[in-house]
Amino acid sequence: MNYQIDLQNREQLSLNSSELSDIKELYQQRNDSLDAFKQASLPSRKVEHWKYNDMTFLKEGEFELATQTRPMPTSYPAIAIEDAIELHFNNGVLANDLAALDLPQGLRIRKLQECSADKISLLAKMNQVNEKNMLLNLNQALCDNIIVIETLDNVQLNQMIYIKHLTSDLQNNAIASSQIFVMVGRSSELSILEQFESELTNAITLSLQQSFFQLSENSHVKHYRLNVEKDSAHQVGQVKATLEKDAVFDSFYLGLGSKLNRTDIDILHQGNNAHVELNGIYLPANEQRIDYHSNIEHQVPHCTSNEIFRGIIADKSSAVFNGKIHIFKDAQKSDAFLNNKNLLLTNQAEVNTKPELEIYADDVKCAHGATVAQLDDKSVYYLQTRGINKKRARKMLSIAFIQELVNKVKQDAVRKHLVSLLDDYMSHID
Amino acid sequence: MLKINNLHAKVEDKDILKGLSLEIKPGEVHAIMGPNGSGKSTFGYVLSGREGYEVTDGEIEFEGKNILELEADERAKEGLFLAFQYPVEIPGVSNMEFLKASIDATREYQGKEPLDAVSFMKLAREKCQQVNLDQNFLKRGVNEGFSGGEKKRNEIMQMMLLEPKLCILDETDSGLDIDALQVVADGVNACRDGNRSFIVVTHYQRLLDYIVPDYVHVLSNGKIIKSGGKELALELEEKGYSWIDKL
Repeated sequence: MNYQIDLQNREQLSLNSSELSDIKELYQQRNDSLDAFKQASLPSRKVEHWKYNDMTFLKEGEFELATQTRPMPTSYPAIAIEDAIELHFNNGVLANDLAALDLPQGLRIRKLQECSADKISLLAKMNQVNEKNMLLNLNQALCDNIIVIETLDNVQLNQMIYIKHLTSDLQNNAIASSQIFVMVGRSSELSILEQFESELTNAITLSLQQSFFQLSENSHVKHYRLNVEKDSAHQVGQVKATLEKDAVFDSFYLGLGSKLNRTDIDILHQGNNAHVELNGIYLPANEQRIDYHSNIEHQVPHCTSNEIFRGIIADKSSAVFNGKIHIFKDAQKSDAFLNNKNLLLTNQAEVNTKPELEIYADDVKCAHGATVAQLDDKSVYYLQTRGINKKRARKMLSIAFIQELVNKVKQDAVRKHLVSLLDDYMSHID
Repeated sequence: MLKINNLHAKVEDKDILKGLSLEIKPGEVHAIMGPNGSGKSTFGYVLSGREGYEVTDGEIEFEGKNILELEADERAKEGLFLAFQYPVEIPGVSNMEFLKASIDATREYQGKEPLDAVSFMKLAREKCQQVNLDQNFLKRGVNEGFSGGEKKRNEIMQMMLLEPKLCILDETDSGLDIDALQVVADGVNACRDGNRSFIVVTHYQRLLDYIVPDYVHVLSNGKIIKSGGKELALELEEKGYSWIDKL
């Protein structure tokens, strides 16, 4: 099955014939997404949501969906998480034999095509047309690799679900495409870590990945999304979560590496007293570009959100942070906090940050702020007068800038992994 | 120990030091007094090697070595210590991490064995106690949320840990009440061992009641215009800085 996508002649495209496209509950949604993809402009500086990123490489030639599942050797250290339930996506395709997984009681992991019609309809709803990011619409129209992770009600899952996404050994102009769909039952708890890795390549490749979370009443999800791709990777992804009454979604992001990493985070508060915690660190270096667009919708009253992102921008790299909080008219007593701080390490480093509040209710508490700064010369000098050389002093101050966020990672194994990634990063920057 | 000859320095094209000369022998305590804007703080920054403070003429020899080409951290590791008037706050870097990095770097430069974590902690706790700082200070960010007195005591504690050859105390008395002043002075006096030298930079004579100098120098318009014994400080206190303009 070779599905060609010529982005310059998009109007020619029609849905590919695949197992998933043939499911009637999905057909309409996939067709709508494809139509939206055809009609939208390609990501360029003329499009508001892509203002600061260059995706012109997409215009070169025809793209093809990757179908390779051969496991590739990788240079990344494994994460030492005890008893983790591991899933591997190689170039978007699931490499595990799901039947062979030894899963605890109350947890189910299946391919979407094995799910019941009502589950499929639910996912189709999550996959509604995206107004801002046409590449996500492309993924929604074409994605054949959809895995559903599901817990029953009242399940406290102690084992972490660790999902490794690897792109490697791809042909030029290949697109890796996948989705995961996590449905958490009432009063259930789940933790999940996604790590994105890639091999360095001369080929132009694009990875499209979306993770959907549906949190039922009083459920708790801890989520980590670590992007540690090599400098050649283009990754466009999305995390989208809907929260019912009393649900808590605690979601942590790391942007490290890749040629371009664009991640959209969409949080929908749909039940009273739901809470979301979004924390993120982005550390572009060399000529990397990292772009986080978050959007938190307080659709109902009494919900809270707390969002802190910090970025250190080195060399000639650039970062974009766009954080929007949208309080609906009926969402009284909403409490939302958003803060973004950036540290520029060189004169060529660039950051564009835009916190946005859109408030239609009149009894809410909202705070937002953003700063951009350079390392404080006085602090560097102070450390130097105590015998610490300049390079080390700059590193200590850089780590200090993100320490607060590292401390927020409470799971020891994940924090250790994070610290080792950061140490490695710090040893490569000036 | 320290020989400064005809030192000229400028900051952002403004000449601040204009021919300062000074010689300090091991074990001596020199006070440098002067009105605001006379170049007292600049002197400390130039000695310690702060970027942006450009030496345009003259020499600084420390322990027989020309230190003008050395970076600030190298001068520190050679044994030069500056206690700041306004120590910066560095949230996110714990005092402990900072002191360990400082001691490790200094010992490595001096060819000494690194301190293991246990010996370091023991030493740091002991020094904390000596300057009356609670041990919890080690866990907090460097100077983060410290009171003025706590910041100054932290400076003295660092001095005790690093055991420098020459200490420059920049207006260490500013913002201190009498009790805090006593603690700081006791710390300094405890470090006087007959070899270690001190430059005490101050606006007021008060500090010199606690840290008694061997020599007093008056700095005005970037030059030392008068030197004498400790009685010079009293004379200056009595007559005021306007007196020196007439010298």
